[in-house]
Amino acid sequence: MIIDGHVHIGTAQFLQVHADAEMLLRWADELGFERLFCTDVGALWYDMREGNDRLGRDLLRHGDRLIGYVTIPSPRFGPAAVEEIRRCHEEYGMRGVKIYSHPEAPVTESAMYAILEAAAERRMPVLSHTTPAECDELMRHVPEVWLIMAHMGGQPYAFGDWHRAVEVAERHRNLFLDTASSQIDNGMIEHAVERLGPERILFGTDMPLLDPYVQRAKIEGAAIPEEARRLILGDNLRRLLRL
Amino acid sequence: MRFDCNAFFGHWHYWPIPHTTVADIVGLMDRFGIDRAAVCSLRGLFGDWRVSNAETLAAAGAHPGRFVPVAVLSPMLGGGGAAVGRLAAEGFRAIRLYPLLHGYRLHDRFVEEVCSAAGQAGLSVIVPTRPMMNFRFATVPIEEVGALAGRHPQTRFLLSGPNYLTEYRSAVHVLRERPNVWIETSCMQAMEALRRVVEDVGADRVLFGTGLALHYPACNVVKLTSARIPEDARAAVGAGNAERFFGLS
Repeated sequence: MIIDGHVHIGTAQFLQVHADAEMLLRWADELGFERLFCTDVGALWYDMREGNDRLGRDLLRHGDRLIGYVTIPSPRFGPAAVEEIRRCHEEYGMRGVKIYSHPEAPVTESAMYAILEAAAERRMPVLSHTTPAECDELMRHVPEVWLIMAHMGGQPYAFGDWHRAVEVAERHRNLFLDTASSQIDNGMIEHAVERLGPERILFGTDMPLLDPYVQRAKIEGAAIPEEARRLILGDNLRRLLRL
Repeated sequence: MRFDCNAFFGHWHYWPIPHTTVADIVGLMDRFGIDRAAVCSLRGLFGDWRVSNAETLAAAGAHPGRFVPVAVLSPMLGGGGAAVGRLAAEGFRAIRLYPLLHGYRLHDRFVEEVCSAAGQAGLSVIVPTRPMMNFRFATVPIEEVGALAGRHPQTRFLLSGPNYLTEYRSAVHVLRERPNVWIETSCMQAMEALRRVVEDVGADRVLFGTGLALHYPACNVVKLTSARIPEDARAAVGAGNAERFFGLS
């Protein structure tokens, strides 16, 4: 079973993406992805509640295929963000939290700790678009949270540094790495598996921004054992989410 | 038939890569169904371009049906327009320029001489906007490549390295303005990137590239095989266009 752990739904000019649930599920069918773990980009880049409600309605229609992240635009929403996690978890059954760190509003602020603690209490993994250094800091404050480093360093703010991502993950047993990235560096998946084991590496595509075929080929073409490939492509998330 | 326009062998000093030798590259090509590759030694990006070119020529000589040799030139060590004729005589089919790695700008006199001489010698010029698809590397502005191509309309240029968003839009703009500019796929990671570029600029100046052994070859092979484009476009992108670009057909 393949689970795509990093999918965007909705419309965002920042990423030039525009996708609804039906479109994403058509791609999932073509690719053989059973479940899509989605975040609403409207919640990420405009209005948290409006976007999460939109995704919530999609979950009600496609609960067998879509899994929802409660999207938090920034830790600066503080108690409202904590309440949003509770609300979306209870009203819509969302299973994870998504947050994006950027220079205008970084996640390494004290308000973030309560957000991570709220996720940890509900056993919701947090997909965080962050640098390895930011993940290191967050994990030192809230070590019990399941934090997923989106792009495993393969994003501009993190300077593409997947070596550092793996190094930081070695220090924190609850830190996971998401494979979605423009980067297709030969050997990056093998390096992560060798240093961390396959259990903390999670497959994602960043669809509809990135090409899901390319992202799947990064895992399928890597020189790793079949068991590791199976864990990365879906079994790790299935275990985390108790699917 | 698959013809990879963007392949390398050699070492990468930033981190160890799993495939470095010419034999490794041939093995990857066999595994991923790549019949032919325009290849270059990675030494040329950082070390002595003369030694790099000798290594590339030796690799092509050892595998004449598989490798098309691509040279690197820089202003150091006697590089310049006068070297272009010698490279053509030795059998090279293109020249790579790395302004950010070799300390010059694309409006440098060295570049003007090389591009002019390349056009006269029938060699193509490859300008990678980044050495590979990794966000740690600074990028050459795509518009500067377009301006260079505009100053040398008789020379074929390959825009190598654009990815998505602004880069993609700039690349399309350059290809629409400059009929002597081509583009390759190795760093284009957006969803349906190949279909979009074929629709936006046509199929006849788009080349299949992998960036092996710096990139996973599988990622770019699947880009070609999964693209929702007509079969004649797939064949052109996969190999036919590269034969024309490198002057082999």
